[in-house]
Amino acid sequence: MPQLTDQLQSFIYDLDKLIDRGSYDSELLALRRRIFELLSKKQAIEIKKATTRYHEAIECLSEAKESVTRCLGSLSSTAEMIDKVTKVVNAVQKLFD
Amino acid sequence: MKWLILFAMVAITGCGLTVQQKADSTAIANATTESGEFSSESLTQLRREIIDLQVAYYKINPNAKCLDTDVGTCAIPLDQGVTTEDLAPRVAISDALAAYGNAIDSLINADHKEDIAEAANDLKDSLSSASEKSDELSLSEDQLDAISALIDVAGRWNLERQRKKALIEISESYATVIDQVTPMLIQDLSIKWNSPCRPAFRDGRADNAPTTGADKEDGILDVYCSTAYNLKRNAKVLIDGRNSTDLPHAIRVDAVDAYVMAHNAQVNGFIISNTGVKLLSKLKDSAEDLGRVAKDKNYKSKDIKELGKDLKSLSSSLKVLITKE
Repeated sequence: MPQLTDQLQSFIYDLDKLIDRGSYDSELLALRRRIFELLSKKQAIEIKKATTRYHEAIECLSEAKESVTRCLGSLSSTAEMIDKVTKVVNAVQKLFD
Repeated sequence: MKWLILFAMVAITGCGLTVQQKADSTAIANATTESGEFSSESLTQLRREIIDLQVAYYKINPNAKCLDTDVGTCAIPLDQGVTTEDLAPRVAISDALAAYGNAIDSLINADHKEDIAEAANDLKDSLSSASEKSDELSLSEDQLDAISALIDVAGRWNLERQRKKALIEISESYATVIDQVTPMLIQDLSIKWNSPCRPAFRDGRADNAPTTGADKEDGILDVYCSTAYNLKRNAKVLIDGRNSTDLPHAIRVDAVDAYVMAHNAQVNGFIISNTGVKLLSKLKDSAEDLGRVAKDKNYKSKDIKELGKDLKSLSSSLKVLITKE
């Protein structure tokens, strides 16, 4: 079954054909305006529904962010570890001085 | 003894990502960043232009008397129901996606080379100094160079091994995120089969236009396209209608401007849809590849190659967008 917004859009296309043929009849134009209002309202409802899903995804993304942060932290500590080892070796070498 | 320790260090560090693995992972990271930035910019721009289209509609339509932006108080609100509350989480997700791509790129490519090289040089200097002062430690220049090179390699290998481990660790959560986020962005940045932004529907349904298509829930680009079409049709009524010859010059100017603005919006909407859907779909297909690439150095992915091509076409596609001025 076609979605409501598809049907409304289809009505609008049909009305536009009639409007063009009927020299821009004012009643047809008024009807078209009302159908477009319905289409806009239905679209706004679908946008709101999707907004809720985005909010849920934000929570999922926060968890993933923690994972990346942890990994970057681990890499950083590896680099620090190399520095520390080098410093220890340097300190050992000073014993020879 | 020292030589043995050094060789042991090198031996136990294992191996990291190959050049190809790094290139493929970087391609996925870059595509993630680009997709996030593209989505964030496009969604913000679309809402702004929906309002511009509606303002033009109010200018030419005497029956449009309500300029309130709150949903419910107006039959057709200025933002067509795409409020800032709807936009905020979308932009947050898109920005986070871009940041995620940047973080993965840092993880793969952050250059600690200078730090390690400096550490290796320090060690070499220390050993040189020590060999001068101790009879027990007598090393030639060549030997000292070899030691510093080994320390350098050991340090790098260890870092690369850590990189690989980290990449495998995050690849699973990355795939989950991409799997969840890209369909939502695709919904917002794609158009329906009968969208007024499609060439066969831009001036009403053409005779050769398709009569059926795949179901899709409306997204922000769909709202943008129907807003543009509504403006275009209302402008056409003024320009071509039965009273068009009696139309005051100022109103006719507004109507022609509105018509052109609406048509350009339809063309832009079609370009944004084509570009965005292609890139986001490819990103979704490649999401699982990040883990495979990190684990298997022989893994070859066609999707990753395609991603690189799509990134190049992204910027050229966006240059085609029709600007207002």
